[in-house]
Amino acid sequence: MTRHTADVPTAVRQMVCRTAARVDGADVPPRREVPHAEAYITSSPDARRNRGLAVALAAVAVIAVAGSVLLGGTAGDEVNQPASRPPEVPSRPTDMYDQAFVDITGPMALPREAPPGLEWVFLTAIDGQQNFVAQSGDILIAVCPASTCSYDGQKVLRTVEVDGATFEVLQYSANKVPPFELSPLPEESRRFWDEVEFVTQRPGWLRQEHTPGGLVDDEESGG
Amino acid sequence: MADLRAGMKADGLDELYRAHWGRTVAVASHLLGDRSAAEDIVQEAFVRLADELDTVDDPGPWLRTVTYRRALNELRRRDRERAAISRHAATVTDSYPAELVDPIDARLAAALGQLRGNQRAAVLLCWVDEVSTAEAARTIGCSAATVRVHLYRARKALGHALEEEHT
Repeated sequence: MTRHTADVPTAVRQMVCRTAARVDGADVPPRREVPHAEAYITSSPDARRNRGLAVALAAVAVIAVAGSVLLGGTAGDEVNQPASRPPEVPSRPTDMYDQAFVDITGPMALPREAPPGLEWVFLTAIDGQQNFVAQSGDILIAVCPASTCSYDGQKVLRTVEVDGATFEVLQYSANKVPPFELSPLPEESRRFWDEVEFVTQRPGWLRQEHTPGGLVDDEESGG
Repeated sequence: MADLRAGMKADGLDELYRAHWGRTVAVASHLLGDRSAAEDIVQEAFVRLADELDTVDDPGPWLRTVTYRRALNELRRRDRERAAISRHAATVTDSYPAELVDPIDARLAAALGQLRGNQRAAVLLCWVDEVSTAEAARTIGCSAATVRVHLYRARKALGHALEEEHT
């Protein structure tokens, strides 16, 4: 059996068209109407003989699905528009950091200033405890309530008390190496984590550009 | 007059919503492997479009670019989160949008899901949205040559998946 990789894009395009039809709640063509892959990837005599017809049928099906998905709305076809879908999009928070922050409850300690070389941060709940994690290069630091964290290869850098609760500042590894194999903390980072003051309220430096993903909203010029 | 303009804007948005919602969510779902996250991202893109509709010349490509970039940001965030909390990696898995995938596409969708995020983005941009490799490169944030490499590798991987489906 010979593979016809030239037809892979068509198969992917058809798959997404069928998915779009499902999202819009339209009827999805059954398999017999959309021959799909067997028309593209087999090269047996029968398959070759039927291939032209199969491709033509697939093309018609794709055009029908795509047409109903892309043009149905403008033509006023209500079949593609479930009644439950709001015609206007309700607003929701777009600041991912705010979204994450709202989801966090319980004691949490955050450095008052941004760690040196910070690439990204995230807030997460592990085993019911709130954790602040910051990455600078290959250095990973977590701040969590004392004796509650069990990160791989963790090493306690400092214990701090904030608003009556005790927290630990940990360096850890994402690769399950023992503590003695952790990347050495650069002097600047070590000094920072030794000396920085911690707060339980969102500090001013923690803004959207430090959201998970690490990138500023770069879709400003979208389109 | 202001009411009339607001009404025309609402009509325009409604039309855009009907025309682009399904396809954009479908693409984002395949890119993220997660329907609910895809819907959130597309919805955010529409919210933003509603604010900027007066200044956007061609809303279709604008929506596509914003959606891809947000989805790629989300993929990068997940990669980093997985790496950072590796011991919890099992709990940070994508929920595959099985309800959106036709059974006949199961193997192909799974193979697409195995590709790296930027490869998936290249596939969806170039093969589904049919943009040029140069435009795909701008959206993904890499060179056009890299996009071509992504497509070459994806074509081999997905072709293999389709072949297995029929052996």
